[in-house]
Amino acid sequence: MAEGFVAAPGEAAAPRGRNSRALRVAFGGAGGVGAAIVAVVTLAAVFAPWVAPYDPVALNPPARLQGPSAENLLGTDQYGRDTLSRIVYGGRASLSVAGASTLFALLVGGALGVLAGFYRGWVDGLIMRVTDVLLSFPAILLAIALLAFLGPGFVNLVLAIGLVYVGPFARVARGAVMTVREELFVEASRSLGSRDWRVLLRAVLPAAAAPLIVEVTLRLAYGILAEASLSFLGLGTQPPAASWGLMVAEGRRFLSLSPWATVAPGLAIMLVVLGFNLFGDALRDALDPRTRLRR
Amino acid sequence: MLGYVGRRCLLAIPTLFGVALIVFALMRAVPGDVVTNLVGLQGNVSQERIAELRRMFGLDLPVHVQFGQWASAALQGDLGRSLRTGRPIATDLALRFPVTLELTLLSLVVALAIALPVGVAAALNRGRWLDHLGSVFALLGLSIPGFFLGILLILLFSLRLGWLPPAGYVPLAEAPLANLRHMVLPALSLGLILAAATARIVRSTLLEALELDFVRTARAKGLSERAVVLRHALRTALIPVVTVVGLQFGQLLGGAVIIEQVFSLPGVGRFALEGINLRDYPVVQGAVLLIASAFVVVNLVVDLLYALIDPRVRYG
Repeated sequence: MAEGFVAAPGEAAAPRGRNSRALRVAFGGAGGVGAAIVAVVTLAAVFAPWVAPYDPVALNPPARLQGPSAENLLGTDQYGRDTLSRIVYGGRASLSVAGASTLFALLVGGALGVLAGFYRGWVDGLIMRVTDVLLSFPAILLAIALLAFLGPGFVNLVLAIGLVYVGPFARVARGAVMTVREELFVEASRSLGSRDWRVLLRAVLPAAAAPLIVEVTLRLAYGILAEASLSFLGLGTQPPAASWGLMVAEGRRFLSLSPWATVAPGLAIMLVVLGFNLFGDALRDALDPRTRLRR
Repeated sequence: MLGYVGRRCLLAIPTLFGVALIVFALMRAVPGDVVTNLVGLQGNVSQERIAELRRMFGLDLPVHVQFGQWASAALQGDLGRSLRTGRPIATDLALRFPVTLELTLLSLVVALAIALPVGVAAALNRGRWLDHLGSVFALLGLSIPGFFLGILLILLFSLRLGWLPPAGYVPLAEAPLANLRHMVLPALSLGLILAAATARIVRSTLLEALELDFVRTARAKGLSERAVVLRHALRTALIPVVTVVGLQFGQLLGGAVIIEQVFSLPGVGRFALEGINLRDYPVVQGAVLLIASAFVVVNLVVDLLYALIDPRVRYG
């Protein structure tokens, strides 16, 4: 067999080389720091009962509004509840709402965008007009309005934040699908007689995955901010449950007496959002070399 | 150009229609319906009163008729009356909208005043410590929630230093200086965050512009670096910045809802939140419709501005 006919070992290894480069860009440097922050906070939230030093809703009035001490590392709130424990448990509300709403937006928006980009024509027109209208609300206002009429609660919170982000996901998915639908491998899959759904699942979707993954990490950051803002306004997670936005709102009334109960949960929000942003930016650079050149 | 303006304005109509449809549909999204919900709060209410309330909300009519009546009334500036105060909602909104508008405009000024120099300095010092400092500022700005920044500013400038009031509002017409003193912290809370996002874009578009041919020509003909950057590169770089800032300005309207709550400013957002707490649904509906319509109009203006400064858009 002629040497040139066999795929050279180097050639077969090429994609792997590219992947490891992408991994290095995504997890090295700032991206790695971001991923580490997200991982630590997620683990703490999942294993909250073992991580948190106290019960997050246990009242202890004599020890209220304390500053940081050996017993309460981040102090206590107006009911004497341990701030650190509440932050650890509050991560559950923030992460689960952000995660579930991003998943909702990814599934609904992603599906709509893929359909629009794949079939074009009136399907595309209809779907894009609907997302245009969704996008013609300031994001947080639409979520506030939905919660105002639906009432608070986990499911409604997820729906409200998720619906807001259906538009962006639909656009990203549509754009990605439109760039690949004319590619040869899609044409090839079609000419082999594959049904539409098979072409979509096997050829189009994997090619559109990269921009969607990046969108997911960045939307998770927005999701955390949105959950915090809505809970701060009293429309999200309800007391006595712990949520970072709610903690800021509750502690705020005692800001001059004890800033810790307000500042600590606020910093927690910032830290996690920063983590997602750092990781999302690095991931975007890793998956799309074009943006890296511009930095 | 006129043709473009006409087309773009016409396009805004279906969008506004969609916005109105959603705002209208929200009222119907209330579990049960609005009246049973309200009545449930008050306990024993006669069947006649319930029927009367249903008529007042138009719930006895088919849905499309309800929407038609509501939309045509809204077009004529009639947004109904508050369930609590009985005052026309349009009147209350007219009193409160200037507060929201002042807050958003001041925030925009803050954002541009910070973002332009930071972005330009970062681009011109690419890869050096000033650039890194700019990136850190941008990342922090993108990660801090507006309400938390507001509270930190209150903590520092009101509670610790005592320089500025922590909350409250004085009408601009009554005492302009006192009004500004009350607006500084809210405008900073909203503006700093927008500044972070904008500085990033100024930096990257300026970097792109600096590599273009005409910039090289300008340098080659011996212009000072200052003239090259300010008069040539920055002007080109600002075109995409206008779009992004315009879109962000719309988002400021949403952010204002939260900042108004933090600083107890009597704007449209706080009005809506009060409405939510009192289950005064028509108030919420009116306020949301106003902000969303303002958002559509801002986007329209941005598109037209864009066409004005970049002729390619008109023919595209």
